Amino acid sequence: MNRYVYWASALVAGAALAGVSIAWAMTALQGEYRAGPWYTSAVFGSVDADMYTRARVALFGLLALDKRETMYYTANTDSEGGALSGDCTYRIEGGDLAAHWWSITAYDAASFLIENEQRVYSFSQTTTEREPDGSFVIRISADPQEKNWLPVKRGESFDMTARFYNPEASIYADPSAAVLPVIVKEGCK
Amino acid sequence: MNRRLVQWLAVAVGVAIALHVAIVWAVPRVIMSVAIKRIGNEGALNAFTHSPRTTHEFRAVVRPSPDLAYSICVLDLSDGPVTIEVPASDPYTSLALYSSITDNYFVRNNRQDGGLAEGETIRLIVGRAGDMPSSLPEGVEAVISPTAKGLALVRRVIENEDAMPRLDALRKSSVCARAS
Repeated sequence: MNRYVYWASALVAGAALAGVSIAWAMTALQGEYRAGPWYTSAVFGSVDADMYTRARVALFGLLALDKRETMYYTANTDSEGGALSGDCTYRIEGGDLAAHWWSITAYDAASFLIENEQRVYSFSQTTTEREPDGSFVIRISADPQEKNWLPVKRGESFDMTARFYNPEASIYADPSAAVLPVIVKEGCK
Repeated sequence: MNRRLVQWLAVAVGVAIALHVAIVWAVPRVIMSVAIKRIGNEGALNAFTHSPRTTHEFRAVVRPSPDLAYSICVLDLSDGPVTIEVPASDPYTSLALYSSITDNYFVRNNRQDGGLAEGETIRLIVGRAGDMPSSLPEGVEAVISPTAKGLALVRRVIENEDAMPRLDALRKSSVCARAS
């Protein structure tokens, strides 16, 4: 084999290995804490962040706040571990998050808000209709739902972020112990 | 294993490690610089821009919150410190400062230190170490920025549709300007 081709192949292999390892680091090392299907990192945005956290924040949550100000939990699967799909209807069921104010927002695969006629992108502490006992059910679906309907697009994957604004100290002290809503798949089309 | 193959592997692994570190290091710097350009009010520095309510049409920054009214000031501290004044609104207001490598080096909200009533103001002077004035007016906090460029970002919770006129009036009275 030609000498140049031989060494060029080493460079190409190195570049490919770098690409694969970065993709792995950005996606597989998604978070340090899991609470059911929700995952988070307690160092998002803070000056304690390492090089990988900074890169992940830049790619997936630029301008995130420090953990004492806001904790962000993201779910891209239901509580059974199935990937979230716009072809299915999900029931998000729980109670108030342990924070001064909270919201749950759906995002498309590119991390932008999902276009819909109703211009509903999220439910929050002040916009979620409650059950008589104070708990709530939000339905996330491409098809209209009776109340607390968070619309998504059929045929497209999505994920959700739950934001805890001014979380209770217990949340950032032990992020895996946070109580978040369950995400139950009700059916698919 | 023959020597040439060992050398080939060493080169491939060396290139992989160098590229891996360089790219992961560069990602936040490049993305933050692009974001500052995109949201920077067509180049306006040291002045607040008050964003309209966030919808699916907003694509300058990933994972925006639709429940917040944002005000953004692109900071350029290379010619001296900047004064920031942000009146608080209920139920939640925060003022966060970010360096050009994405670190959130300062944050203050309306509930700390006994809390701020609606309309009470968070006052700061932000600058590079060595550029700060020797004395500050009462009620003004000095904050040292780790980088010359950066962002000040104000978040206000929009409780419902009726809240926007009230929040807009408070946003308009906010200040981000070169310190005199």
